Parts: sequence; C-alpha cells; structure tokens
Amino acid sequence: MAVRAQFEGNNEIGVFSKLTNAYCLTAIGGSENFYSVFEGELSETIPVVHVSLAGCRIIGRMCVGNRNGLLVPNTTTDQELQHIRNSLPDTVKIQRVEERLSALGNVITCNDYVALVHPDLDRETEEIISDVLKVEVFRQTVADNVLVGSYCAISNQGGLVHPKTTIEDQDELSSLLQVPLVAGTVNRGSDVIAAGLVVNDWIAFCGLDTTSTELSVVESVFKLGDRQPSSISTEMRESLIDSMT
Amino acid sequence: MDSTTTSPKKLQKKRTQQYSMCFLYNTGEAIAKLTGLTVATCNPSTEKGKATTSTEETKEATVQQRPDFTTVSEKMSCNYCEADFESREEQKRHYKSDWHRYNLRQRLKGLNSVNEDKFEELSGNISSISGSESDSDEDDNHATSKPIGMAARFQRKLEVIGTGSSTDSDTEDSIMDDRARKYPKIFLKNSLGDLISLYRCVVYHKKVIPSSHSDLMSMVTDIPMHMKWAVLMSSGGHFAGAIFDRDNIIAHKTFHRYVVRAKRGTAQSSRDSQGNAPKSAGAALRRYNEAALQEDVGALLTSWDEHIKSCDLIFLRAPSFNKKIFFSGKTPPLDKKDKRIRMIPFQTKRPTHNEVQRVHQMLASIESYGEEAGIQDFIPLSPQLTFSADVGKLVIVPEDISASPRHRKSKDKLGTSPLTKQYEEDEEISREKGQTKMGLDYLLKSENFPTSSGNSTASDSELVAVMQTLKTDHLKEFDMSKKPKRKKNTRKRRLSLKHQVEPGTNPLDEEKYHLKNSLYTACKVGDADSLLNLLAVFNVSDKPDDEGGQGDSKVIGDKEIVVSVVDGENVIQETMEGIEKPDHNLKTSGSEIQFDIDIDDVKDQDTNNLTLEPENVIYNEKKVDNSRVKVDPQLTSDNRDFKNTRTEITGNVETKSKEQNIDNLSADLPMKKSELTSENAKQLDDVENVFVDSVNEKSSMTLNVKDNSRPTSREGSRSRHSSATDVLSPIIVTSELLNEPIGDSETTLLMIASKEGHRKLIQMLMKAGSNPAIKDKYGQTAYQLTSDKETRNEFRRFMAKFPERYDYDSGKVPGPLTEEMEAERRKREAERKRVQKKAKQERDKDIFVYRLTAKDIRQENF
Repeated sequence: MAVRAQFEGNNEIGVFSKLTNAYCLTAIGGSENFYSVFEGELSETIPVVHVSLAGCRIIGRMCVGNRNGLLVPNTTTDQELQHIRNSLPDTVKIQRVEERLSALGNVITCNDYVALVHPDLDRETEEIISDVLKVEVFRQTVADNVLVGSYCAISNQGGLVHPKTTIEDQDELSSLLQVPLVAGTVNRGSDVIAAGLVVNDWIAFCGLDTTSTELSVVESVFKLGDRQPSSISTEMRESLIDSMT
Repeated sequence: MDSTTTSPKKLQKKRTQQYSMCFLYNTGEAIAKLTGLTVATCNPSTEKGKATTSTEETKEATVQQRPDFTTVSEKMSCNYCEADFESREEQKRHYKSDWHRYNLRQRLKGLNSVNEDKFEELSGNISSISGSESDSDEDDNHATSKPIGMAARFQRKLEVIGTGSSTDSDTEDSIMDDRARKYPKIFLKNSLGDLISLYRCVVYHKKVIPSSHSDLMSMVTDIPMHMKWAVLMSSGGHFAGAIFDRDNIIAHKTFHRYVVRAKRGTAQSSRDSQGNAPKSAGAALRRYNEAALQEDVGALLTSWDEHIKSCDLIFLRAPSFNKKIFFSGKTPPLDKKDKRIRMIPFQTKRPTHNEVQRVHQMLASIESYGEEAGIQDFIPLSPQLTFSADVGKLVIVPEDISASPRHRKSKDKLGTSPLTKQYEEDEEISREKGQTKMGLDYLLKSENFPTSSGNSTASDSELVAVMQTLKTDHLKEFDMSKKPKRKKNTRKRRLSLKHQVEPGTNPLDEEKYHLKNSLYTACKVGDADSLLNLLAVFNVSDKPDDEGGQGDSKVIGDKEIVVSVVDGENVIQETMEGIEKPDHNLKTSGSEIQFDIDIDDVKDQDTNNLTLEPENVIYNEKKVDNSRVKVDPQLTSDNRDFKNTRTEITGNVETKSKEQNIDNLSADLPMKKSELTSENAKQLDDVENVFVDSVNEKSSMTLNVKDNSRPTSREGSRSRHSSATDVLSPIIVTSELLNEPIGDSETTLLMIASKEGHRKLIQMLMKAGSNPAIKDKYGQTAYQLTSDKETRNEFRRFMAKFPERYDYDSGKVPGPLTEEMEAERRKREAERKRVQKKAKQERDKDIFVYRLTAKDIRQENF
C-alpha cells in the first residue's frame, strides 16, 4: 500500500521522515498532521517516533538505518541520541558516525541486506555500516550521481532509481542489490526519489504531488498491498502461455 | 538539466604526433611562430544529442518495462570497469576492490575507465613513487577536465564577438563556469597552419579579457617584445623569486623559514586564526619565523623595486597565507590590483631556484602540435616536461617505459652487475658501435614491453649465441684466502689440547695429569675434604724430598731456583707480572714485600731468597736503568721455620737511559752478582755456591716461571726443563698445578672454586699457593668471577690475614675485610633492624589506635 503525505505543505516527505521495517522516525513539526499519517498506518506494528537530529528536522537526509540499526551523524546531541535509544526497540543498534559526508541519508541507501554508498565515503564508516546495519556495502553511483541515498529508494522487495539510470546500470545495480529495480520518478516527475518517497517492506509514503501512475509503479516495484501483480500473471504466466500455444 | 551540459566523461585528450617548443624570449623564432594567428578549432564535440537520446531511451524503457519488471537481474557485471563476474562472490569482491573504486573516481572526473592490468600498473607506480606521481596525475586531470569549458566558451565568446547575436549564451556561460574552470592554455593557429598554444595568463589578465579577436591576436604577437618577467613563489615557509629579462636572470633569491609544523601541515597563522592559539615554544618559533619571512620578502622586494617596476609581467604563486606576504602590511610589496600580476596556472613544486626557472620556461614556451587541420576534435596534450638543472632547460620526459623510475632503477641495478657489463661489452664487440646497445636490461625491457619507443626496437637487433670455453687453470685453490689465519687457529687448538690432555708416557706426567684431574673435580664440586687430602699429600711429600735434596746443595739449588718454594714462586711470578706493568712494579719495588714461607729448610729458604734477588735485578735492569737493588734478607732462624723474610728492594727511579738490551744486562750480571754476594756474604756464607749456580741459571728460570713451564726456544730453558723433569718433585707439581691454567679459557683452580662459590676451598687454595692475581683468557681474575658477596668476602678476609702474600691489586680484590670491620657491620645491621622494628611497631600502634577510635565513633553513632 502506498500513501500520500505532506510535511507542512512540503512534498519532500523523505526529507522529514525515515521509515524502516523496525521503526519509523518523523521530524518534530508545527502540526501533528504529518506524524499522525504515519502513526495511523504504522502504530500497530512499529514505533513511530518524533525525532530531531542536531536540532534539525531534516532527519531523513541526516540518518540512515534499517531493521538492524540506525546511524546518526556525530552532530547529534546526547539528549537526542538518548531519546532515540529509549524509543526504539532494543534490537536496533544506534551509533553515531564520524563522517565528513555528514548527511548520511544522502550518501547511503540500504535495505536490510545491502547498502549502496557514496564512492568517497570513509573506509571506517563503511565498516561501521556493515557492522551496525549488518549489510554488505557497495560503492556505486546511481545514474552517475554520487548521492546514492538521494536518487534511489530500496526495500527488501524492490527499488526505485533515478529516471536516467541506464538499463545496463539498472541491471548491474539489480544484480548487486539482489532486488528488482525500476527507474522512475515521484512527486510529479521529481528525480530525487528518496526525498519524495519513504518505503519499507509493506508500506510506502509518497509526497502529495505523486501521480497515480507513479504511485502504481511504486506499489508494483515494492510489491505493496493488493496491487501487487498476482502470481498468475507473473510466475505462472510463462507456463500458462506455454500451454496455451 | 543534464541535456544542457556536456558530460565530462566524453572528453578526449590526445598526444599529438609532432610536438615542438620554442620560447617567447627567442624573439625571432617566436615572432615567426606568432604570425597570422587565428583561434584554433580544436574544441571537443558536444555530447548534447547523445545525452538527450539516452534519457529518452531510459524513459521509454521504464515505461515499457514497468508492468513486468519485477525480476532481479541475472547479469553480473560492472559497467564502469567493464568486467563480468561468474559468481556473486566474485561480484562482491570486485565492488570492494581498489580497481572499482579507482574507476568510479575516474568516471566521476569524466575520465575513461582503466582495465585491470593498467590499474595494476598504475597502483604499482603510485605505491612506488608516492608523492611525485600524484602531481602528474593531478596535472592530467587538470588538463583534461577543463578543455570543454575553455574551448566551448572561447568559441562562444568569439561567436558573440563576431555576430553579436545569441541571447542565451550568457546563461550557458554561467553554467559552464560552474562546470569547469577555464583551460589554462589558449590554442591558436598560425600562418604556417600549425596549432600552437600559449598560457592564457601570459597573454592577458583574467579581469581584462580582450574584447575582440584581433585584440587578442595583437596581444599575443606583442608578447615577445615584453619579456621582462618576475616570478615569485612562496609556500610553506619557502620563498623563491627571480627577475628575468628574456632568458637572463637579473636577480634571484631564495629564503626558507620554519613556518609549518610538519605533523599538522598548515602555517602557524592559520592555526592561530582558528582561535585558541597554542603557546608552545614551537608555535612561538613558527610565529616569529612567519613574521620574519614576511619581513625578509618585503625587504627583498623593496630592494628589487626598480626591477619590479620595470617588469612587464609578475607571476606569482602564493597559496593561502602566503598571499599576505605580498599584499599586506603597511607598505605591501605588490599591489593587489596590479594588472601585471598573474597567478601561475599550473602546479608547482616547492619554491626553489630551479623551480622558478622551470616556471619561467614553462610560461615562456610556445608549444606547437603540428598541423592544425588534423587536430580539431580533441585537445592536444603536451608531453611531460621536467626541468633539468644541469642544462638549465626544460626537457621532455621520454614516453619510453624506461623513463619511469621503477624501470630506471632496475636498469641501474642490472647495469651494475658485472655479468651484464660483460655481456654488454661482448655485445658491443660483436657488433658495430652506435647500433643498439643490447644489454640484458634492454632485452628484459623489450621482452616486457615490446613497443618500447626509440628507433631501436627488439625486432631490429638479433641475439647472437656465443660459445666460450672458460679456463680454470689459473685458479689455484686458496689462492686468495688468508693462510696465516688458518695457521694461527690450528696452533691455538694444539695449545689448548696440550693443556687438557697430554698425560705422556712418563709415569710422572701421568701422575700429574691424574692429580690435576682430581684437584679440578674437588674444586668444581666443592669437596673440601678431598682437596685437603690432596694438598696434604703434597705437604707430606714435600718434606722427605726436600730433606733428601739437602745433601746435594747444588742440585737442590738448581731445582729451587726453577720453581722456588710454594710461596716464593708467587713472588717471582708477581715480579714477572710487574715486568709487564712497569708502573705498578716500580711501586712495589719501592715497597716492602713480605711473605711467609712454611718450608722447613733454612738452606732452601736462603737459596730461594737468593734466587729471588737476581730476578729482581734482572727485572730492574730491564726496565729501569741504573737502578740499584738492595736486598736484605733477614733470617729469623726460628726452629726451621722461616718467617717474614724481608726483601727490600729500593729502585732508583731516576733513569738516564731508558732502554737496555739483554746483552748488556747479561754483561752486567756478574758484577751485580758479585755485589750481591758481598752484601750477603756475612749472612749467607754457606749458600754461596748455590747462589752462584742460581745466578748462572737465572735467565732460563725467568723464562720458565713466566711461561709457566711452557717450552721455549731458548737453549737455557730447554736444558733447564729437561733437568727439571728429571728431578721433578711434588712441590713443583703442587705450585704448578695450583696455578696452571686449565682448559681453553685458561681458568685456574681458584677461579673454578670461586665461580662455584666454594668458600672453604678458596681459603684452602690460597693458603696452598693459588694466586688470585692470575687472570684467565678474558682478563678476569678469580675475585671477579665470584657469584656472591660471601665468596668475595672470603678473598677480602684472606687479604686481611695475609696482606702481603699476593698482589691483591692486580687480583682486583678491593680491600681487606678484618674481623673488626665485620663486627662493626654486624652491629650496624642490628642497629638498623632495631630501628626498623621500632618504626613498624609505632605504625601498628597508630593503626590500632585509629581502629579503636573508629570503633568508638561508630558505637557513638549507634
């Protein structure tokens, strides 16, 4: 299922929230509207937490995380860190990272098994990523953009990448990440995928501008909800067609 | 967004076939080059069309594939590195490899990716060359990433100038500015159709861009007329500056000041500007040096004022804090707004005079790349240039693989091998000179890199197999080895063997050998009883033998002289040692020597004394010329026990002539002898005969004692030796045995006992005649070989008991330890212990009291 949302009139909800399979972080906003959208969808399954990082609301770009852990920049205050620790499940490791490229959300993208990182990321950070998030780390670009965290969004089911990603690159990334990928846009043609979309294995939130076409692409590639292509039309199709002809 | 800009990765740079350089200061040549100039058309093709089509394609692809695009790709490959993988593991490994990272970077810089082999080569180079490589690397990037910007922009600008149309080119311009900086060179076509390039900064100031094509061309042609340049460079505490008039250096100067802390890397001022300035001595030093450098440079530039004013261009390299050296202060040496000042548009190394010269030549060079017509779709690349200090000129680094330091090194290495040299020589003989030099190194090279440049390639030289017969006749075995050393070794071994074994056929010798063995075992094991028994055997066997020998005084005398009685011999030895150490002996000769003699026979004792005296005579005559020896043997004939025989030797130390050979000495001897006899005549009437004998024998005896019964070449000694063996007495054996060196390290029994720490034995042995002054092979005495203090004290106690018996000084025994001293020490020890005990009790009491009070307090609280 994919849901549209807006943060104080801004469609870039990926900037103000972070969604994983184990928790959801939302920025502290003027109104509770944004928070309640997440709360309404997720409260039964995972904790939804109000968070600020280093006093900023752009938490989605500042941190990176998955089911296993959460990495926050070293500008995060102790108080914020403590709050996050208290709110998240104990199984989630939280670690501050000393990294020159401090907008971790922009330079790292990951699901529960693999991560793509900026080519210039510190080796030490790379190690921390693989330790805390328990993922395999690959240095790669998405459509020749180094900000892999901004230009693609991946879950364990699939991924959406920058619209200008060539088919070869898509193939390469897909085989690397071991998830199906689609090049597409969100928010009525925005190529900054991760800013307009947050996704986990069962739900996606898109900016309010996202068209229904875009939404359907999102749902199909991330295999969300009931719009998922039926097994007949995907896995059994070949055999069916085979027998028909 | 992408469609408006050209992708940097599509850039092309190429080396041109032809390349030549001339310098602006060679006016004629330069003017010839710079005639009929037009702007060259070598600009890279724009990739607009391609970029847009590719995006369209992808969009289409996404649209088409959307419905059933939900499968994971099977294709495992890396598009950047153009590598395919067999397995997931291989794929993972690849993405972690440096090769992939490198290609990623290359791609981001817009460069072409490299294949694995090339990367290996590159990375090898990087690791081996470290710093220097990165420079050229950067240069490359510099050169390649900029051209589009420059050329396209320049082209556009000229279009603007020419047509005055095109409204949106300004916006494009600004975009281009963001994308890439200007290319530092201008490419021009001259009347000959050659493509030439000049550094832009030489032509015009970046703020005064020529308004038209013709303007630019006139500026370029003007340059050779204005060739008074100044090059000033300052970085990291180094300053180098020079003023050139054409290619002549009018003035130059370099400074260096300690300004940058090596570990931190930035100048002190920039560290200070971050706040919290350090107060360390080093920081203060650097601060001072920075100021001093600025002052120095200021002073220099003011002194150069005239020159600088007349300069046409001033080239400056002053990164970051160095700028203030030139532009700040009360009277800044240079004006910031001065249009003559240009920044050096390429990388420079540490400012040195050579570097300044290099920069000047680089800037003043007109590079020509050959026919312009052939160079339109790529940016020509100039070859690597280095400044050779010997020639004072820029030199093109040959493309040849041998130019890389690694190969040069290997070449050198091979070149030094005599084998290679030989080979080279042969080669040269076998073929004409001037043709290919075919050393092994070259072969190696051409094998590895078949396309090595130069006109001599592997193909036009052939290998010749040469069969050679080598003669080995002239080689003799051990021709060069050192024989004497070998000889020495064998002799040594033989000697040591002689010490250890050699029981001989003689029953006496055999007996001696066994005795020695048992003595050694007793000392080693610390068996005091058996040692006592052994020594007692000697003492017992002493008596009858001595008494027996009394009858024939002459023979006895002979005998006694050789070895002398137990203690007497030690004295002789002592004096013998003294010969080796003159200073020491002069001292002892002046002092009284007292020794106990526990020998029964008065006569024997007398002879002993008498033998002793000639010894001293000999000794004194040898060392101290004109020395007088007075001997007063006092005989206290107290029941056959001879005690405290005094030998007073007064040596006149004032010497007139230092050296006197033995011949003289022997000539003097009879005289001395007579002197002695006359002196001692009253006391020693009976022993005169013996004495005479002793005098006759003295030389051989000395040798005997000195060498410790080692056979010597001297006739006398040999005869003496044979006679001694004939009439060998156990006494001889005792004293000899006790002090005889054992084994290769020449230890004595005393040493063994002291090393093992058998205190009882030490006393016993020393009483029996073991001399503590004897040193082993390593120069250690028995005292020094002791392992614990008690053993050492044993020596000192003995010294206290018999202070005159041995030469304790050379035995390294520090001083006597008497009963009183020991008692006193014990007392002191006891005192100290008592005090300690008291203090401890005191402490305990305190703690007790404290505990009590603590307890009280607690109780009170309750």
